[in-house]
Amino acid sequence: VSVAFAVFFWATLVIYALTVGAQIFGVTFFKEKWATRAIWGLIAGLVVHTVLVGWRWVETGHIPTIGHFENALVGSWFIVVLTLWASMRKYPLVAAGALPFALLILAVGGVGDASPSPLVASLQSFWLYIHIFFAWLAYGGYTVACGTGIVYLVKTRGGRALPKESDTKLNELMFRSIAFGFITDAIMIAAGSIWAKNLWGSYWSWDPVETWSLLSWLIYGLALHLRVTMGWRGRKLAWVLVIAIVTVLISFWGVNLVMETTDHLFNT
Amino acid sequence: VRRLWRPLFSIKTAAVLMLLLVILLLLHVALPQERFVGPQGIEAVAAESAVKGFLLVDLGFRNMPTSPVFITVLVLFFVNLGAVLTHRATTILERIRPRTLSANQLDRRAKRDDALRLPRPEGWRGNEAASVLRRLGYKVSQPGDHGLFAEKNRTGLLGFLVFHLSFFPICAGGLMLYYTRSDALVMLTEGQAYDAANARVLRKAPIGGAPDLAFEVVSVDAELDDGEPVQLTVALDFIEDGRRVRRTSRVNHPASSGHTDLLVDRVGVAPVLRLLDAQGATVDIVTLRAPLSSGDVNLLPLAGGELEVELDAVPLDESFPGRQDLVRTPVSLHVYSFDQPLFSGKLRPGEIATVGSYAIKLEEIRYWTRLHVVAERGGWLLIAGFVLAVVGLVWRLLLVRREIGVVWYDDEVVLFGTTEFYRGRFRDDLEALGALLVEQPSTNEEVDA
Repeated sequence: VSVAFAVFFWATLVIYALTVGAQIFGVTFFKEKWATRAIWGLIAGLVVHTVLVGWRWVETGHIPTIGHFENALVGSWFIVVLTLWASMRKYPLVAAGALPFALLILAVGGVGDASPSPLVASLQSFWLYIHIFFAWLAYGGYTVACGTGIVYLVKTRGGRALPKESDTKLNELMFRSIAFGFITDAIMIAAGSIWAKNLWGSYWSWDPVETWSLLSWLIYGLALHLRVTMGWRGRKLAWVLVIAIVTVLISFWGVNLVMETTDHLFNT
Repeated sequence: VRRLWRPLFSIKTAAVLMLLLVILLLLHVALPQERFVGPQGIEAVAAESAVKGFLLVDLGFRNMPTSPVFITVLVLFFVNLGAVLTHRATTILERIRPRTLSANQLDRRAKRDDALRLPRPEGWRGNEAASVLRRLGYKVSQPGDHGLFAEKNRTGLLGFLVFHLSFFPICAGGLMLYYTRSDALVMLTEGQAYDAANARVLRKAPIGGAPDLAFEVVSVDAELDDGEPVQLTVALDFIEDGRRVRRTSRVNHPASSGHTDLLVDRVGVAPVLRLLDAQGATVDIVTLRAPLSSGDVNLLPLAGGELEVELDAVPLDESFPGRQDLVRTPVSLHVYSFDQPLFSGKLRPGEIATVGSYAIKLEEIRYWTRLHVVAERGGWLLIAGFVLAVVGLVWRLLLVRREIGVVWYDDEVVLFGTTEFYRGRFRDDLEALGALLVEQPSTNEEVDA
C-alpha cells in the first residue's frame, strides 16, 4: 500500500487507541465525563476510517472483501459504526467495551498482507455481498452486546448497584444487540448457503467455517432464549455475552485456524 | 403422560438440547473428519489417542453430521420444538386476538403510579387522539366516553410460531437434499459431448438414479487479471426434448437443466494430437488435457499402448494462453515407448515431431473444462425455511407489541401502556406520544413527518 494510505491507517489506529484508553479510564475509575468526551475521538477515528475504506474501494475497484486486511478494515468499521450508534443513542460508555474489539481486529488485519488483489471468480457473486454485509452487521451487533456486557460487569463489580436508569438502558442494549445480531446472523447464514450452492453446488457441506457459524448462531439463540423465556438479565446475561463473543472472534479469524480443512479459501 | 409431556416442552429441555448441539458442533470442528483426512487419517488419530479413538470410532464422530449421537440429539431437538409449538400455539393464538379494556379497567389503570398525567388543554377532544394513534399504526377502540385503548403489532407473537416452524421446512429440505443428491465430476474438451460413463462419481443419490443429461461443450473461456482467474465461462448446448438449448456456466452462476446444476470448476488447454505412421497414415487422434500444476501426471497411451505421451503443466496464471494466442502457443510434450524417452520438446499447432517410427502432429489447441454435475431436489424447501425464519425473527423481535391507554378527565389526560420488549425507552416514547396527543393535538402533519 502507499505511504499516504499507511499514514491514514496508523492515524485511525492511534485515534481509536486513545479513545479506548480514555473510555476504559472513564469506566474503570467512574470518570464518566472522560468516557463521554471520548466519543469525539470515536467520531474522528470513524471519519478517517471511512476515508480508508473508500480509498481502498476506489483503489481495488471492488468492495473491500478480499483477504484478512480488507475484512478487518471493513469489519471493524461496522463495529465502530454500531458502537457509535449505541454510544450516542443509548449509553455513552458502551464504547469502552466494544471499541477494543474493533481496535484489535483492525490492528491484527494491519499486520498481514495488505496488497490489493483482483476479485477472483469465486468472489464475484451478489450473494457474497449480502452474506458479508450481514456478517459484518451480525458481528457488529454481537460485539456491541459483548461490549455492553463488559461495561455492565465493570460497573457492577464488587456488588455495586447501578442507578435504575443505567441498569435498564444497559440491559435493554444487551438484549437489542443480541436480537439485532441474531437476525442479521440468520440472514448471513442463509445468504452464505445460497452462495455456496452456486459456487460449490451444495447449500451446506459441514465445512468447519460453516459449522462454526452455526455454532455461534446457536449460542446467541440460547442467549436470546435465556433472556426472553428464562428472564436472564444483568450480570448473568452479561457473562453469557462475554463468553459468546469468543465464538464470533473464532468465526472472524476461523479460516486461519482451520485453513487446512476448509473450502473457505478464495485465492483461486 | 403428563409427567412425560411436561419436560418435552420445557424451555430447560430446549436449553439443554441446544447446549448439547453446541458441544457436538465444537467436537465437529475440533476432531478430524473423515471427509477431510480420509479413513487412514482417522485410523492414525485413533491409534494415537484412546480418547480420540473412542470419540471418532466408537461414537462415530468421524462423520459428525451422520453420527448416531448427533442425529439423536437433533431428533430430540425437533421433538422438543414440536412439543413447544403444540403447547404454545393455542396460547399464542388466544393472545393475538384483538382485545380492549372496559371503561372501568381503563379508569383503574389510569390511577396507577406509572401513568403519565398531562394537563388537558382547552377544547381538547379524544377523537383527535384516536386519529393520531391510528396514523401511528395503532388499532384503536373506544370503550366508554372518556377513554380509548390502542394496540400495535398485535400479531407479533405469531413471529415466534413462524420462526420455530421454519426449522421443519429447513429440516425437510435438508433431508430431501441428502437423499436425492448425486454428485460427479466430468472433464470435457471443447466440442466433446457429455457421457455419464466418463464421469467420476463422487456421490450416488440414495434415492433415484443419476441425472439424465445430454449436452456438449461449445466453448471455454478463462478471463485473467494480473494472472488471477477472475472468471471462467463455459458455453454448453443442452439437448432437451430434441432441441438444442444454449446455456452458460460461470463460476458462481451454474447452468441448470431440470434439477441438475453444472458448475464450472477448472479450465485448461487441451492440445489435439495426430499420430501418423511411416506412410503418413493416421494411427490415432487424441485430445490430451494439459495439467494445471506440475504435480498432476497425465500419461495417455497411443498406438495401442506402444507409445505414451505426457504434457507439461499449463498453469492458470499470466502464462495461460488466450484464445487468439492458441494458434501459436507452444506446448511441451514428452513421448515414451515402454518407459524409454523418445521425444521431449515443444510443438506449436501445425508442427510435427518424429517419435521412433511414428510422427506426432499438433493439430490444434482447444480448452478443456472440469464440470461439477450436481443433481438434487429440495432446495426450494430449504430457502422457504430460511425466508420463514428471517420473517419470524423480524416479526417477533422487531415488530414488538405495544398497548396504549388514554383516559381524559375534566382537567387532565392520562396515558399509560405496556410494551412486550425494550421497556427501557418506553417511558420516553410515552412522553413523546403524550406531547403529540395532548400538547399539540392539531399538528397531525408532524406525526406524518
